[in-house]
Amino acid sequence: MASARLSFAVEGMLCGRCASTVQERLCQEPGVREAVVNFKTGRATVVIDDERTTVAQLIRALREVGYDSSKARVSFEVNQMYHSVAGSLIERSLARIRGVLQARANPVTGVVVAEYLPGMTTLFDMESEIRRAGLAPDHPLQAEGPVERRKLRLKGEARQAALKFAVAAVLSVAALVGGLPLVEGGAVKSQTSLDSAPLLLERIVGSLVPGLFELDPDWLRLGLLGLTVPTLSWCGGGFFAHALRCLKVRVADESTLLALALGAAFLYSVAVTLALLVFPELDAGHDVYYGSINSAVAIILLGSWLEARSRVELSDYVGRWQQLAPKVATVQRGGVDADVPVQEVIPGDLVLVRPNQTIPVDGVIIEGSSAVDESMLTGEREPIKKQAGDPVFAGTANGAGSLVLEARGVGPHAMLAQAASFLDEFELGGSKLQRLVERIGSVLPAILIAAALGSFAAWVLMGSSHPVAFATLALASALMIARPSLLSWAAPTATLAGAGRGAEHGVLLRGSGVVEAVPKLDTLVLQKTGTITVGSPTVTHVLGARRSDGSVVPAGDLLRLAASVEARSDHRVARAVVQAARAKGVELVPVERFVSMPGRGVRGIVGKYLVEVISVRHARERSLDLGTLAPEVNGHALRGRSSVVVVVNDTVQGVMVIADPVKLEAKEAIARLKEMGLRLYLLSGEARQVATLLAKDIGLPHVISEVAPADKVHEILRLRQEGRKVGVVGDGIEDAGALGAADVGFAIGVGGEIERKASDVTLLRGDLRAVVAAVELCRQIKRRARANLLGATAYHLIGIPLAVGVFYPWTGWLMGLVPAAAAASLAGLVILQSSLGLKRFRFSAAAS
Amino acid sequence: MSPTELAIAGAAAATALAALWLFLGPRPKEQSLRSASGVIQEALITVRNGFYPDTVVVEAGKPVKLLFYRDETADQSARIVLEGLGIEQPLAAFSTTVVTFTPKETGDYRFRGDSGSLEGRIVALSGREAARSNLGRGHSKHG
Repeated sequence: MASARLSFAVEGMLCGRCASTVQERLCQEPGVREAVVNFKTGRATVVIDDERTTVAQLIRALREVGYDSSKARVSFEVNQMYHSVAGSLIERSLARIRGVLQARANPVTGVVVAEYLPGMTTLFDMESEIRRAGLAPDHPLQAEGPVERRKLRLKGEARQAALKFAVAAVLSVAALVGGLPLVEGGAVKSQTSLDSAPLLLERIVGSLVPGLFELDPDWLRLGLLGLTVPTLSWCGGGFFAHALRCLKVRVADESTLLALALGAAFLYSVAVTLALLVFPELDAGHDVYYGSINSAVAIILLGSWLEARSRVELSDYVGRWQQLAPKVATVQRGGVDADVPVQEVIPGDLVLVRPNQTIPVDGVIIEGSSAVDESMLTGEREPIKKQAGDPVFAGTANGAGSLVLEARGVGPHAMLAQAASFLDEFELGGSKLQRLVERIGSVLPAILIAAALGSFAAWVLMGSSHPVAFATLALASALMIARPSLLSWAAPTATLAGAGRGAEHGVLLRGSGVVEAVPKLDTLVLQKTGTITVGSPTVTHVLGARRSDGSVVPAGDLLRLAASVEARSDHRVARAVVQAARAKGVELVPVERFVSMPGRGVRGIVGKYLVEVISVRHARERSLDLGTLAPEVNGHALRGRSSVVVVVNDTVQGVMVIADPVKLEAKEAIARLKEMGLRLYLLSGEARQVATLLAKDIGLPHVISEVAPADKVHEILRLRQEGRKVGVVGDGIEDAGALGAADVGFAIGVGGEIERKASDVTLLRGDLRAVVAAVELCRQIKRRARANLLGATAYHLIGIPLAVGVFYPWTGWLMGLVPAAAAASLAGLVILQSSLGLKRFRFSAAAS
Repeated sequence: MSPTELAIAGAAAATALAALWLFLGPRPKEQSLRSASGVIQEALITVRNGFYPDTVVVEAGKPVKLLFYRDETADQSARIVLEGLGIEQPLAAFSTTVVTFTPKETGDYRFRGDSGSLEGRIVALSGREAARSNLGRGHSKHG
């Protein structure tokens, strides 16, 4: 039967219970094999039988219970958005269009994402609105994949900034040298500004170019004006062009501030140059700022160049996963080995992996054994020994052995592709603090312009020997030093770099919302099987019941009946029973009318017998007598082993003891999680005695036991209703609901695609150390983001008053144009480098 | 303090107020809502090792415009086939190809790449207005 795996948005969900309602409704639809609904991502992932249902039918079902799935999503790459603080303005502008439900502008990647109702608005409307905000949608570059494209775009910007910086640097040196003879008479500049030319330089230049100091100052000023025109028109022309576009739509951003600062200094200098030409008797104390303007432009462009390089580094770091997968695979078809593009490999193909090659697709080893280095996916340093039956993943490195795989996950279903898409689709923004900061950043330029003009007026009124010159310098410096965009990307850059570091360690974070949520967790619920235990239970004892004639039911008979029924189930315990039967060479028999009873067991008709394999709890609920087996069951429970009861025609025929060993590193990881202040719960469907014993053994203080899979969601919701911030760690499809209902769902181990989609944090490494790593990392990202934000705020609180001359009356300090430009450039670099510092974040011993 | 300086300071103060009004002041209403009547149902689908999104929900009986942006050069997406609608078109790499049609009936309309390894579907439904007005009812049921 043809099946399809699809994912679609679900609208109208306001809580975890909504997700649970939708999931239950979807599961009731005939033809739905699996359905997982994640409240936080607002998406449903379903596996359907194509012949029995349609997505149209599923959405009708959603609508019946008060939800919908009508919205579409579109994204635009926007040119140089990170220079702008217009992101929140774009969001508001787009949200005003009828039919647009939500819009998010990402200042780091320059991407605007809008959700809308098709038929209510068009993409053209949205593009027009972005242009109205003073920005231009960018035409995508022709490159494979968004990471490569982003890299090319950033590299292009870096190259252009480097070229413009080189020209501006040459012109600024010329202007600086040419302006030296004017410094002597420049009373304002030499007495009040921090950027006065050093006397030593004047002496050196004087000795090298003696004629320079003999030139007519008027001609010198005209010469400097000539040098400054190309600096402003070409090197810094982008600031003016962008500011003009913004002005047309009544928006102010960083370019507006720069254009005003440079424009004010330039216009003042031109006015002085012309005035002194026409009226030579005027006070020579009126100075010109050509040298400062040239130097400021050069420094800003140097900062832009270095920032662009840092962005390329960040982009490379976050996107490097996309480069891991090889492009070609060797496929065995019809007995012939052929190299084919990876996209052409289909599930079921046999793929040959030679020694030291990168594995091209996800699959299961059919033949051969080797040590596989999975560090690029999981952060696990030691290569892992793999043999027939073990799974391997695309992008990991094969060791010295040769392998033949059966391809399972190819294309977008491969683990690597999904891990890469996690980072590619990483959702930035969304937190209240970030939104507030962006909102402040969007109005800050306008307030700064008004404040700088106000200070200009104040300085003119307060008077000094050259009030207008002094006030102009203060005005230009204040506008030059402001970097409102720092507020917009202080936190997102840290989050993105942290997400990259997490991916390196096998921790995939879904978005900045998750990064915000993880440090707030106070409770962590650990599912038992596969999380704390290895998740591959084995049958250790088969105990037959004593019959009325005193004989004991033979173990072989028990195994044959139980395994025949369990062979129809995909549960872990079922697999253990079947494996035990196969190991003993027991032949299975046909089963009719098989029924799975979630949380209780399975049953089926074997010949003329009704055979049931059920939990001890369910046997007790039904008052089935375990007879002489009861003490044995209790004894094994005290050793941490659980049992299943084999019942034939309502009579207990025996029990099978199942052991699932605890993972080696679980204790250490649990101790560390407790140390981090988290309240830990063990969640298990097992009997209370078994669960409590296990919890005590590994140091878990709280136990929720005897919970059927369907009730796990309600247990999580109950904890949340108590006011706790709950994280759930689990694996397996039966955990997907609980993962979705938690504040943060951690899917541990590689799991399946559907579990990965249900989780907020995917942990590619299958042990609890990865949970420790995720919590440590998110806490560190939050700290770094806050430090960045604090730094950006402090920079403005100190820099702006210094630039407008607030301290001048007492200290004589006034920042000039060049130091202001240097401070602005340096601030941007410091924030970016601070974020990139997360690349080197060291996990604790318990996490690595 | 000379009259010129007074005038300059006054002008600067006035400019400051003007800047505040210009950038933060009220904006004309005409920038807000747009007419919704007769707008075609548009969706942009990126083709890169799959269709993103792979499910697009539209209203049956109204024209649909799909913009396929092929973001790769792999052969698997060299053509797009819309089953049941008789539409088959080549997709140029790193370009947008427009496909328009009107789904007359409700149901799933599948589309796929050339080799069949990529699949998606257009889901045509009716009664969106009623569904939108019911949105949130699901949550209110359980509080």
